Amino acid sequence: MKLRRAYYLVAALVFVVAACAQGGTSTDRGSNTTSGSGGGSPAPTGVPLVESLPSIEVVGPPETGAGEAPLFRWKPVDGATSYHLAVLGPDGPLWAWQGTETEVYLGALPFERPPGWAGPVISAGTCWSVIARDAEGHVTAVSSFLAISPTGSAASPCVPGEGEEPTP
Amino acid sequence: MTAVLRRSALVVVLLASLAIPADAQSDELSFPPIDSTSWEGLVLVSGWIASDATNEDGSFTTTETDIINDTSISFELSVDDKGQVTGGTMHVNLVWFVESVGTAPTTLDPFHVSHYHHETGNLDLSGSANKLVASGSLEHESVTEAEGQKIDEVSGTETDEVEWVFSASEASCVRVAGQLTAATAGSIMNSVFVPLDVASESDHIHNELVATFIAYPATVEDPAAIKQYLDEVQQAADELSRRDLPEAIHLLAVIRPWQDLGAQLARLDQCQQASVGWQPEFTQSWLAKQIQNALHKALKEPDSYTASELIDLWDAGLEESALNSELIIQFLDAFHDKLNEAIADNDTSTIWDIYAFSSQYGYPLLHDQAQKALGVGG
Repeated sequence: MKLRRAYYLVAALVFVVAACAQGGTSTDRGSNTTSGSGGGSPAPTGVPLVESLPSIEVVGPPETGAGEAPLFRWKPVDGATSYHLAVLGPDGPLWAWQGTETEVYLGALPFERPPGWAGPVISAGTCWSVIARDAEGHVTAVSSFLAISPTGSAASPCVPGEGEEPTP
Repeated sequence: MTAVLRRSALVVVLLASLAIPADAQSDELSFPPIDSTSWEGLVLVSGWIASDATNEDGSFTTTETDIINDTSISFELSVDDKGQVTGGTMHVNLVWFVESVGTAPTTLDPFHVSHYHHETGNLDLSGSANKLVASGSLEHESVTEAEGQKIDEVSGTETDEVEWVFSASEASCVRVAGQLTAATAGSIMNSVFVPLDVASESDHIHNELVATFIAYPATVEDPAAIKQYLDEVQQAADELSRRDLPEAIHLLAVIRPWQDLGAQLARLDQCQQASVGWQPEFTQSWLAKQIQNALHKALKEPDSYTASELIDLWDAGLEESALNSELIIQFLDAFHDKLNEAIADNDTSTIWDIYAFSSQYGYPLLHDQAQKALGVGG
């Protein structure tokens, strides 16, 4: 238990430091790219988040050129009572959301984020996924683990369960 | 501290933070362009002025002039979209008292005279915030008493023609304030401009009279939807703080209306936001603190939650950037314990839940252990 605690302590510290560093650079990026809805782009693909579970079909955003606060969209799943979106930044967990809708903007504003409005932003190396839960709260379906990039540059590949955690 | 008090205190902070800069071209302050073109306000006249004079023969006079608390000067005015006053009235009810004591020259007989003054009437307003002019006629009644006997030395009323000029030193979406900068010579208002302290060998004057003004929008913008979200956020936060075992749904009861509030405010311009008087209290750090407090409580009793309930709490915390290093450690410890229990109980549903969580967020220890337990993947 002690070893595990020490491991997570280091991991958590790295996460926090990385998050701070990310916050410091996010404003520096200053991208004016608008959020992409993915409506006219091909559906993104990725590796399965969890094998052996039904898939959730993702509609958007596109892997590249998604904008800093994209709109995440997926198709409804039969029997799902809630969806749980997770956005993993290059330095650790970035944002999460839970609800019954099948689309949400990063930051959960009900419309595209106005210029200068505060909130989380994605950067190159971001991955995201969504899972569906049943009434008892258990996972029933999962999306792929999808790479996303705010600009037109290629997104980094995403591998489930592999965080950038240091070894103890 | 009550919500009302907190809000009031924070509105003060807001006032300080939303000052409108002077117009770049005219270098003048103006009434801000809010939806409402009607403003109300008060002139605050208060204080006293005292003088001492001593003559060579030893006689002296000490006089003190006090503005009486009955004084009230209010006004309402309308402005155009350029901030110019298009009309307005100042309602004057100015009361002051002058008392003199001393000894008469040569005879050195003591005297005691007091004057009661009452000026009333309505003045017309014109100009702008930078030079707000109140002008017109006031009825001036004064009554003099000497040696304890009432005398009608000045009976009835006189008419005073006055002009008072005010100038704003600050202007925000919710308040324009400044001070008197000029007044008709010889009037009580003009006494404001006597220096604070004037002294010579035989005379001394000390002036504590002040005359300032404050104006605020007559109709404060307070959209019903925003007020509703504001109340909802506060109520949900209060309720959350009282819960010993908060669940994600209780966190979301704060988060969702807070997000709705933000969405509503995003649609308003800065002046309208200021009029609502909401912002300082409901900042991201405020919300994160509410959530962190709730998560700390929850993680003291992890056995009271299922793995999926803990994941819900994690997600709620991450949604509003409330997960700090301490909470992350507590969460991961709890998830590991839940996974061990689930493996021991052969509770595959829970193992899948933790497996999906660790896959989404990239925690390899949890991920590998769950994967092994499920016998899936690599």
